[in-house]
Amino acid sequence: MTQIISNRTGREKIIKAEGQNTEIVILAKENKEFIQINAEVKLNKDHQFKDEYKIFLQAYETSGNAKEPWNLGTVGKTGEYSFSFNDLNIESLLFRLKIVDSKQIIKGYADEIRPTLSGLGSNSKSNIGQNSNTLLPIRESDKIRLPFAIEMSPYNKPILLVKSKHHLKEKFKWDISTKVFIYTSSIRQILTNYLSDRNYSDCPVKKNFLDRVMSNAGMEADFDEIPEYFDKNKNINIEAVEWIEHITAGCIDTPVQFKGRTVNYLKIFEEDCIRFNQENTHEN
Amino acid sequence: MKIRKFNDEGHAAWKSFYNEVFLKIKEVANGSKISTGDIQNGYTDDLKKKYINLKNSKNLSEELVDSKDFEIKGFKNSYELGLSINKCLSSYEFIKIDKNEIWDWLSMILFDQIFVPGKIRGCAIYRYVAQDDFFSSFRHLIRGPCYSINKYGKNAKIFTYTKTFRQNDWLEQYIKVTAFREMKVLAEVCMELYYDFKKDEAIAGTSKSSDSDKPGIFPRLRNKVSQFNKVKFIWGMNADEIINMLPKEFNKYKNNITK
Repeated sequence: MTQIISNRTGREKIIKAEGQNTEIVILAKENKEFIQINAEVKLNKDHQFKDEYKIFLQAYETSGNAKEPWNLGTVGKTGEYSFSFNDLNIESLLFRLKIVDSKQIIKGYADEIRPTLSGLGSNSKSNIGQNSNTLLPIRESDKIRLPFAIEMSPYNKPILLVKSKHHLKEKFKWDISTKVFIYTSSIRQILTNYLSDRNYSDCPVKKNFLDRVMSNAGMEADFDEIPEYFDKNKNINIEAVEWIEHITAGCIDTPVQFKGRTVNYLKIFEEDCIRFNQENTHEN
Repeated sequence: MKIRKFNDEGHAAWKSFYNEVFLKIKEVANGSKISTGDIQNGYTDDLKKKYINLKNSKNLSEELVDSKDFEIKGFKNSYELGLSINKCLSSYEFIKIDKNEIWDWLSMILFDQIFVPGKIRGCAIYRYVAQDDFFSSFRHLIRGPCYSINKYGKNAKIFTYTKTFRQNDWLEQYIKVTAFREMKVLAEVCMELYYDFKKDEAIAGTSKSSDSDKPGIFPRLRNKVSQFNKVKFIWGMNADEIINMLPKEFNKYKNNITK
């Protein structure tokens, strides 16, 4: 029998993970003018939802717009539905599903449902953040004011957002100075958030991220040795700040493979700075 | 006169003009916090002449063919202004006219109503030059009111009752919360609770407070709605049903006697 989970609110959790027991399948296909969504709901009878409960599906972006929920019929009469829209970004597109009784009380719920891009399977670009092996996936966004930002939430892999239309994604790939500046700031911010925000205390993605950065820095992944961010007086603990700096430096100042050769980003950055200074001196 | 949109040259000229205004004001402020006096002194006669020249320049904009005639008058508040613009552009879908080149042309045409030295306390560029980023775009003194009136209809009054040259704090606080921004019914809830219908303005001190736990004000509503959202399908409820769910701390506002 499928495991049914409920929480303090009394809502049944709808299974969204890919697999035979998934209860919601969403396919997204991007055309030139709009995004086409096909959704299929196959609710498990173990929930014991009443036939008259209504089903609503809402599309939203992690930070930005949300659409008005679509009615997918009732538990007793649902099936396959299709919709289209043109004002959300497919790369940050998520869905939430709600099963609602006649008094508008939510009886079933699933959040942060990522669609499968039609024709691309589960490794579609919308899934890049969760499934890829990259430490810090990059996504273009028109929702940020500054050139780059970190998108983070518990249980989700941090994503480096770069301002769209600035070709920063390309620049980031090939220009080591840009990479060093952005990576330094981003890793420092992610580590600070992970250490200071209690919402991440049980987050498995946090553990994985810390594992990776400590391994990059050549440190043993000993979580007990990570200092508390706040001391007893709720002041910032200088040891934690130093630990963050140490790990960040360890990620940047380390040998990596770049364009087929072994390089150290920080060393190349330093050489670039010296060369730039020398060229300017010669011109003068 | 039909509403127009800047062409590339016009748009660049407008941005350059306002950047110059902004830098001059900062120069006058000389590193300290910008005051109303700095804005008055910084908007020099030379800049005023430049503005007139820009406004009278030909070939910097093109007409929106389906716009209705736009009558420039002294708008009492941002609601009147936004309503008037939206009516002129009613034959377009909002997404089609949500262009910086249009908002900024309107900003230029209505500059004397949205940039009033001596009365304005801020001169940030995003107020007069529409920005691409999501949140700053709502702070534009033309786009913000037009967006909210298009989205919330008459319930946008709480976001636009202020003078045309003022940024409305209710809009600022409301728009940044996704659930509120997208659920039109919550704009109605805010109107019902926090709008003084006699004075035709929001009840003072309700949009925010240094004490975010102050009973019954918007930050508390935001928290309550976030809680309700986990157990109730608010999209399917009307304003009265939502208001009735609110706890005692909201009673003062539930019994809004100004209606």
